[in-house]
Amino acid sequence: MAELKLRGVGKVYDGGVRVLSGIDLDVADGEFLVLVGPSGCGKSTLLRMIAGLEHITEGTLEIDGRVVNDVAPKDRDVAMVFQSYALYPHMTVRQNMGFSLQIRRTAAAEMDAKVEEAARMLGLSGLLDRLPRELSGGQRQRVAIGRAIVRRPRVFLFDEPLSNLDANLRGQMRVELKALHRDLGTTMIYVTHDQIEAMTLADRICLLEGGHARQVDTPSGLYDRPDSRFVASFIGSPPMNFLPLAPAGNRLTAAGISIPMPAGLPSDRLRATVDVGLRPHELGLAETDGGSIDATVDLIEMLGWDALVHARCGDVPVLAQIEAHGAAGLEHGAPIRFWAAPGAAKLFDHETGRAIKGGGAA
Amino acid sequence: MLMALVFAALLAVPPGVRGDAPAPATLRLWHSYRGAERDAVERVVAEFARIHPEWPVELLAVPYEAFANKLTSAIPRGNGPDVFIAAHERLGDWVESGLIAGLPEGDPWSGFFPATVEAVTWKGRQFGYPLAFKSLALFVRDDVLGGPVPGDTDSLQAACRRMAAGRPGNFCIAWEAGSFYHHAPWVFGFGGGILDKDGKPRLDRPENAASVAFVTGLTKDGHMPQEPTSALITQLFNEGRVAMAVNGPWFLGELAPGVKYSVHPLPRVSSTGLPATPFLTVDAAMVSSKSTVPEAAGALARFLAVEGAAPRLVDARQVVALASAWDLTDVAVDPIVVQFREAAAAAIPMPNVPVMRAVWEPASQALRAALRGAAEPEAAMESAMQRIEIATRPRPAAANPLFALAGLAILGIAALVWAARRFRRDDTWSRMRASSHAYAFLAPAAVATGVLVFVPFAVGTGVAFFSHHQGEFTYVGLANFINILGSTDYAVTEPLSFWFTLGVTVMWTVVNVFMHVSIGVALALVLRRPWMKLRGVYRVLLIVPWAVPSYITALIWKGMFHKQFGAVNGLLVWLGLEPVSWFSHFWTSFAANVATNTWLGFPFMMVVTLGALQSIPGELEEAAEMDGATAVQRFFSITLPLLKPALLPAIVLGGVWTFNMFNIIFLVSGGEPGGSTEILISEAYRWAFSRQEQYGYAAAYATLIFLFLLAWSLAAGRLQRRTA
Ligand SMILES: Nc1ncnc2c1ncn2[C@@H]1O[C@H](COP(=O)(O)OP(=O)(O)OP(=O)(O)O)[C@@H](O)[C@H]1O
Ligand SMILES: [Mg+2]
Repeated sequence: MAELKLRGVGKVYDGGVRVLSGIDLDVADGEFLVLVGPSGCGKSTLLRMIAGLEHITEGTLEIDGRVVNDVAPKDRDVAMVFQSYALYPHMTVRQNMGFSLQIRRTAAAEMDAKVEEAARMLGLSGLLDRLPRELSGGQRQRVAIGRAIVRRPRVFLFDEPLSNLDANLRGQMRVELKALHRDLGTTMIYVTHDQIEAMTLADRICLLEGGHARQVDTPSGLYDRPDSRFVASFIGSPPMNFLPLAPAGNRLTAAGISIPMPAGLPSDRLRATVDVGLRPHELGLAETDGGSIDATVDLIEMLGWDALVHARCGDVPVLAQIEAHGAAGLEHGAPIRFWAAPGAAKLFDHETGRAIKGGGAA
Repeated sequence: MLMALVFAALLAVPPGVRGDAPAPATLRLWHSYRGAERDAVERVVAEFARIHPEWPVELLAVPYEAFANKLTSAIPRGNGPDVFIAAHERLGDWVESGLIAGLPEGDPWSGFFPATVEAVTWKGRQFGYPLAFKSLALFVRDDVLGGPVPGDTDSLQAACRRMAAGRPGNFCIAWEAGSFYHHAPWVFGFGGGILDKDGKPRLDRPENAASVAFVTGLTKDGHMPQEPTSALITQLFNEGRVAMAVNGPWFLGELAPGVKYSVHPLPRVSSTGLPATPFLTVDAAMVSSKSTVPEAAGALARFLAVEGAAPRLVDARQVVALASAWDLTDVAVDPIVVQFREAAAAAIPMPNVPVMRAVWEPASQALRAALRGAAEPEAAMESAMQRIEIATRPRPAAANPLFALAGLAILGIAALVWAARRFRRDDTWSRMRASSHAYAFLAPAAVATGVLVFVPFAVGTGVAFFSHHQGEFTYVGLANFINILGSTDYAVTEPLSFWFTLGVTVMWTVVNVFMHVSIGVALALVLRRPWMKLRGVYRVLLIVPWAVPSYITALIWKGMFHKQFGAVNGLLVWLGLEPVSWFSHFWTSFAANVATNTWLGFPFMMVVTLGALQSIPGELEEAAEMDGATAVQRFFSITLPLLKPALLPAIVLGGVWTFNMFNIIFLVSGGEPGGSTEILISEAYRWAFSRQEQYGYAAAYATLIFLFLLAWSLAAGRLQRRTA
């Protein structure tokens, strides 16, 4: 059980490559924090710095109030599950899971008890005497997790632990991880680039981009109140539509598009162009007060209960998620009018991508 | 049989009748001369051919090292030379094994220096025409000596004392004191001897001990360098750091240009009044007993010795044996050659009895033991006698080969029956035919392996059941093995015993492989570190020891362990420690061998480890780090077990190599002290080549080595399969 404090943490590799800068992050005791972001943004690096496998070149890392920048990994009392599992190939499952206890000279009986308990939690009881190469991918994954939990560390670190599994197994493991966190109640930091994993598992998500922490918030907070166009586009599937519109009076318009100005946003505070974000499911065919978009159908993806309509308004692509029966009969080239859900539009600065929030009571 | 008939037929035809025969038999002459000596012999032969056009001569220069072996193997098979030029040392052997023919009496024997005739005489008959002779002489750097050349040991000592006062770090006199050949002059000078009247070796005499004490004294007083090797003496003499050297004519070739020297007879021993008497080695032209043209061969040999004397003296600067050649020549003879002749005036011919070759190794060993103070001269000589006795012990009795043959036959039939049954049962034949292509491709390699490996192996194993004496092999059954394994002739704890040597060999192998693996793995681990700069450079540098031929490395290390001039002792002295006489004690000598072989052996293990490390994912170590393992724990519980599959075969192989690492033992310690650091393979070599050619005994050693290594590889293979 532990809380972590990162203050101005940055990383510059030996060759002078800057990978992370100015990360401020607080992880509460027992929290499940997910680090998410596009490939190469520095997620693994940050995680490895917390683990102690990578030197912290800037800033400080505190665990439970103690700065651990110069503490060796083995003395930080954190456990890590690697993307490749990193199971010791010459040891049985039992030995793999018991290794950390053996290193700590735990009594044999206690060690067996702990390993067996972890194995039971993870459904590995029958496999304890097998070698890693005699296991399936999912089983190896569980052993890797088992190896981390037998010694009850203060913090768990996971680096994309599910990315080597097929979609079904990944879904199942996700649920198990969530349950595990509930049962253990230990602080967990979890790296993924899969936003569904991030949304489903996290208490809070830290979204990294280009070595910077862009936004740290609960999943719904990130979804509903993105700080920037990047956050808005990264979170949510299918991704948000962005329409470059010009403020005109109390509306935002472009050729074929007209959306009412959100409340509390006088047009004089806006530049000539703003990006208006609308999630695909916020567009529909039934008329609303939320404004309309006239477009031409490109193609339809039928998903069963609903359908994705790819359309185009001038040069601007528009994606809408509507009920499947509404999409029936739509054809390529046919004109279509989408209606936006009232109050759904989010505004972003066209240049900086920053969210433009209402000024409270207008 | 056919050969004998042809031989007889040829002999029956009188030479006169053969004169008009269209294809005259060619005379084959073998020698091992090089440079000017070779040119002179070629010219003499050309002259002979001009005078005797009916006897064309074909010359063959055989490398010196292979000469004796080639002769003993070629002549009995009828494809050897008609005439050959060789040193007289083995004459007795060759006469006894019927290799060379006796020569007619009378003229020209009175024309040669008597000592040279004595050298080629065996049981009252001459077996070669003396060509030239060599002996040790006193080389003097007059500029360094700065006084008259000492004529006796008292004036030698006086001169040495005078010099020592003036020039510390320099020496008065040097010779290869650890070699009995170089020591022999003093043995005779002190009135001692080597063989008694019956031609039996007898080293344990007070006079011999006195001669050793004389040399020990010179070394102790610092007049003579310690552990003097031929290379060291050459260097010291060339640099003017030693005033006098006792050496043979071959020393001339090593002298640096511009070094001023003169050659003198060895001094007299003051206490006895006798001259220090070196051995005389005589090059003689001998006639093969299997020659098909004995008359022509005899004529050629004689021509080389008599008519060829003057050109050999003048052109090749040979110290020729024909006395008249020295008077007759009207061309100026090189004064150095004359000095050599004078130095050899007192020399006595090296005994040509076979037993002499059993003396050198033990006598030299005893000498070295006495020189370094490990044994009193008397005791050392006595232990040399024991070794000589073992080397000259009677050969085992002949055994009846019938049992063995019957056994072999039964085994062979059993093997055939077994093979045939397998063949039929497994339908091997049709399967082989189906893949006949593959077999065709394999065939050349199989044949080559058969010829190069299995045949020599079978012959070698076969020889182990025989005893060799003067070219004859006698079947003795298991006698060699019984003698070896029963340690019949010496205690198990003596260096000569198989078990002692086996113990040393096993220890040698274990210690070496341990060092190779630990150093190799350690360096590989360091080289893998990301913070190592210039990794590539180090990697290449560390592989260099491997790339240098091992005998060069061995000689360099041998020099580094020299007591007086070696770098290792230099370092010890610099650190304020006592210099160590490395080859005087078993453990230091063993350590010197191990150090040398470790230097040679670790790069292989390092390269193997570097390769194996590549295949271990870095995350495993990181995972272990997260699990709380220290660097040492990570190495032993993660890295090492994962390296094992790659290291085990390398260890098996390295073990076999080290077990048979002849070069290092032979060149670095040479078995010193007292043969105790010898390993099995070098012991086998000694039995074969410096202890009366006990080939059968040596082959039995080789067979035992093979069996031992076979067992080791099988055991290791099983271990490997278990861990894989
Ligand atoms: N040892 C190193 N030296 C220099 N640069 C490095 C080093 N290791 C990683 N990087 C760089 O740091 C950046 C971040 O790497 P990191 O592994 O943290 O990315 P990531 O967010 O985990 O990406 P992914 O989702 O693909 O795993 C990358 O641009 C990478 O090229
Ligand atoms: Mg990563």
